[in-house]
Amino acid sequence: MRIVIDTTKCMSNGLCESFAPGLIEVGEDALAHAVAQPTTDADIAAAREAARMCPMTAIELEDDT
Amino acid sequence: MTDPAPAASCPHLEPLLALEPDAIRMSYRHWAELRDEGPVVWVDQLQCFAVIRYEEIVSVVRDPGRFSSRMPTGPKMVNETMSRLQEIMAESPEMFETLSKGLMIGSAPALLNADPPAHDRQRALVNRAFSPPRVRRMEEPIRALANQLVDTFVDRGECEFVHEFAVLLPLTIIAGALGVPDGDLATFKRWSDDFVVAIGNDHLSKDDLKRMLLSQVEFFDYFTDKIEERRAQPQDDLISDVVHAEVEGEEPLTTMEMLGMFSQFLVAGNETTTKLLASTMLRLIEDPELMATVRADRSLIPGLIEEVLRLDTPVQGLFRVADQNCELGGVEIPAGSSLWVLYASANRDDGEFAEPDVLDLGRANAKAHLAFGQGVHYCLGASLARAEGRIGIEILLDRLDDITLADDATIEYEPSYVLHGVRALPITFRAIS
Repeated sequence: MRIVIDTTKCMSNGLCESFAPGLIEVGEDALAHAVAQPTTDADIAAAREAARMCPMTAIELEDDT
Repeated sequence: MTDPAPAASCPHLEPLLALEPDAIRMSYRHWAELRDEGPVVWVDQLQCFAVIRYEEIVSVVRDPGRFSSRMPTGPKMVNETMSRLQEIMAESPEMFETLSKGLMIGSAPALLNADPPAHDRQRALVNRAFSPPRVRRMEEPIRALANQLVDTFVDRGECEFVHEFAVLLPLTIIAGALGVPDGDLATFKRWSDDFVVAIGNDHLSKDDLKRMLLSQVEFFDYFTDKIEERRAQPQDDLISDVVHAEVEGEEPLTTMEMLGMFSQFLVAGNETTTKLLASTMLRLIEDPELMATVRADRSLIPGLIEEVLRLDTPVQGLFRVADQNCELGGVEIPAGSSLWVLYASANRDDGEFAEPDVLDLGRANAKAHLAFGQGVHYCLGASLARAEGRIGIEILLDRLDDITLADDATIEYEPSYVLHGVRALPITFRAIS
């Protein structure tokens, strides 16, 4: 699974980085970035929750296939 | 589709709307009764539909194109306040002139009461000021301030927690960010109090309303001057950021929009975090086991803050206006209807949260609560509020032991069916040396 962030939607509220620490981070540019891709089941669950709760629905999860 | 909503009053909310002390303290009981009625219930007293389940609330607030934020505190407050203000304005030409000016501030929608595309343009211009990296840089000043506040009462062995800590921590931080000098803090607090007095309270006197609008006028004059100062000479503060905010392709903010934003920063930066801090302290005091657990493991504090936000939601719900006919939770909503999106109710919806009435420090989806809303209006200051809550509680636990309610303490809640928090919290403690 790959985290893809639409930074044109990002509002930098940081909910994503609190749901998926180590995977998504809001940078100095006040935009969320994927800093790592999920590998474990726990990572995948965290990324799904970040995507579900993002107020701007700016986070897409793409299958690897 | 069910039958159209009956035009009868909603008995479940009667005690809450009458601001009975037990009802405003335990508002969750009334939301639970509403949830048993269905996902969407007509509340005749407020002339609105209450939206009470998690799923429908998220669908409404994530669809600003169909559900407008132009009347966020609800039709009853707006209509009643306006008609009574018109009476006051008719009293004298001076009063008319002064109060018209106060009303002007609210006339330019900004953030909370704005809709896309204006909202999104405003938000893009201020997001950066409250982004997580900025808030991380504010952590040290927040910590230093929390320690200074404790210094002022630690030797007494007692304090009134709300006014000596919970108000002053967020108030001083937001005042500092807005470039308000410490000498003006008391005035700043008075404005904040006066601005919120009508929210969720339909029982105000003419004098209360007059004071509210006069404060708006003072605020307007004060910040109009500040904006002009910063325009000429930028400083390292939030006002300067907003005055000089530029996003490619976006129109700069008007002075009216800026004033609207600053009044929201003032209220949102004070009221809500004050209530969060006080509710957290009250929960710790009322549950000695919780207090001991959190004392022993400070890494549990962020989870505690999320659970208090969920269970003691400071803003219980805000309003939207349906801009077209629609169906919500099986109920027909005619265009023009007001919807009361009850975040506090969603936060105890067992469809989203298992055992919703239990404070669970290990709750996996704790942050999924709607205390900060959802969608484009998601609280701009959420990261700041979380940091202030976490750091505030850390410092208090570092410095105070054996915290209990003062012997003669009676706990009263703010008289509001929208805002939720204690008015005062007299505590005793032992200083940790």
